[in-house]
Amino acid sequence: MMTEQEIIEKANAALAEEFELDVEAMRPEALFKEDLGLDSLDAVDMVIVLEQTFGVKIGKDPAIAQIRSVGDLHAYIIAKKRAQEAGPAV
Amino acid sequence: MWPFLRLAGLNIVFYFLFAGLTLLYIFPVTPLMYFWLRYAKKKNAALAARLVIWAYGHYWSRILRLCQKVTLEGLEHVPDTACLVAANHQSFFDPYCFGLLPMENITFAVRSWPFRIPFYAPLMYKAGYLNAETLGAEEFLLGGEKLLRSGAFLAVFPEGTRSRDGSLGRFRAGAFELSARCDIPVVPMCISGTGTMLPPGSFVIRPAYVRITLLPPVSAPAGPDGRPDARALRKLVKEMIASCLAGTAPAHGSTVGC
Repeated sequence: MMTEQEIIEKANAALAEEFELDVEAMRPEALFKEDLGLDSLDAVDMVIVLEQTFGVKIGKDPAIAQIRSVGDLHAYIIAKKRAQEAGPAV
Repeated sequence: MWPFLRLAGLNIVFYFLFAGLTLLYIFPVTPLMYFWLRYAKKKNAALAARLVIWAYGHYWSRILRLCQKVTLEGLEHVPDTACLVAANHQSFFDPYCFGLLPMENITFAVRSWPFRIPFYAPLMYKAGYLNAETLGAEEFLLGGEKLLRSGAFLAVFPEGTRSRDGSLGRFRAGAFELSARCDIPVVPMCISGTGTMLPPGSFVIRPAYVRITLLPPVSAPAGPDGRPDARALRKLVKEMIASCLAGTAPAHGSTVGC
């Protein structure tokens, strides 16, 4: 089982590579739009890179639309990963 | 004095012809052509809308060729069956360049704002354009797959926006993921000169040599796990377009320009 810190580091590295950002800029309080310069087009890429990096299924999950900051994303992907590790939802 | 007069003449002719064609298209060409295609030629609604849009781009491009030098290369790389076409983006004019290609059954993945253009938006909906900003990843991929499986070409500008300095921006992943998922190739399309002719933020048409080059279709190579690697495909397409822009890619096929 990955620790939360490992998930966060893996997410930061994957997103930094995908969006050509500095890993140092991936602070939890950083806003994707205002601080990192990403826009709504990048939401598709974010889903794809998270699915491939963590092997989770995000699909049409409406919660992804609520993500505004790097910290939101960390919390989301940790929850997804924990749910995956706990087994398939009934 | 002469360059100014030439520029003024170019803009007067261009905008006069452009306004005339657009007004004619709004009425009566679009409704007449659409209903003729639907009910006389028995085309489905999506294809009829795509043909109307393609024809508009085609004739607008022909007008451009009255005023500017335009060459088109690599037509032999257009597959017989559906594919994605990924082009670099420098100018408002770039989408019209697709009107010069023999791809009448073509639709686009675009941002949200074109869906607010009066008269054009209803046709876009009919033609099945994908709104890459509002669709979620899964909906975008499913919608794109449906279009490609139906035999339509799908055009994308992977940079997502026009380049401000002519350099290639970051390529978005969606189109390449779609290509890998559907096992349908991408035809890279290199457009140069439109950024000089009509750069972002300008309404003045400047003399330019517009060169449109279609490059050989490419599919996603196998990744380390043996599955199609969309990320490698994206890198490959970007490199091909960058080489073409830099003038290092060989010209392909015949030149069809004026």
